[in-house]
Amino acid sequence: MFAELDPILHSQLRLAIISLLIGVKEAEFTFIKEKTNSTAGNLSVQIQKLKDAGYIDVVKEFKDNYPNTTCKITSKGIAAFETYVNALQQYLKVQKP
Amino acid sequence: MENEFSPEESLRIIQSMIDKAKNNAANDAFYFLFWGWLTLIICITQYVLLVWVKYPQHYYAWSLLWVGLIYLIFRTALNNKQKKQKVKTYIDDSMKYLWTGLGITFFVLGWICAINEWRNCFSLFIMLYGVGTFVSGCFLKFKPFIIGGVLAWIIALIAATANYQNQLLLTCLAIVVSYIIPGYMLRYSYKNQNK
Repeated sequence: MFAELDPILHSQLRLAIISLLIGVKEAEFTFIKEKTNSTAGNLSVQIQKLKDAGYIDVVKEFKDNYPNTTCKITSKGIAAFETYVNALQQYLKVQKP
Repeated sequence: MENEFSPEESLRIIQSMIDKAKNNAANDAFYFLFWGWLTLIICITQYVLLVWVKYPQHYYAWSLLWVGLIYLIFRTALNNKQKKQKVKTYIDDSMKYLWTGLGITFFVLGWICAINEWRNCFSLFIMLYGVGTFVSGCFLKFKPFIIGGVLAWIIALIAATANYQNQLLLTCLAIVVSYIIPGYMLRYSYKNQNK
């Protein structure tokens, strides 16, 4: 029996964001945008979805009069990522001849 | 549409993003090379003043450290102003705490040696270089620093039996093997990774 893949994470951009955040302490919006090659609009929407799911914390502040958004993965996000990777491994094991 | 991608594609995304989030090794290489070259120049200057010029206050060469420190403070302030740091990694934090602690230890040790005597001080400094590079190498998973750290400890043992002039030369050797060579190797491997 396969574990179902988490629909929040099973999206290319959201998975990219979480995979990026899993390896760092925190990252600014511009860093995530640059590394994921996404547009600002799409990235904002996906970040909001991850935030609503409780997978990331988002801090919005002003730095030198410019808005600055910083994202950080939460313990719930880490657990969801681990579950997602375990489920992926199950799929891949079965697919191997 | 966006959910239609294979488990292999998911793994590729995960792998690619984890690689992209890797520590900014170029920045770490800069600090090793900066301090490595600065202390090497200071040690050589002191050796020349002591052995060839026979200047009694040969240890004044170490005042160059303040120039390095001031330069780094300005550089950090400028980077912060230009908002260069867009990401913080746990390795960045660990390196910062390690080298802040070691930096303070270097100054305290220098002070203790100035009050007492300099007989074995260089061995202790070389030993601390070994701690810094060995632990940094473990954090960065970069073998040349780990090997450099071990070599520095061996040089520290040899320096304990050497006279003051030779201790200075051994310090130069320790800096080259534990800071400068691994620093260039780190920079080279980072450039290759990002080609």
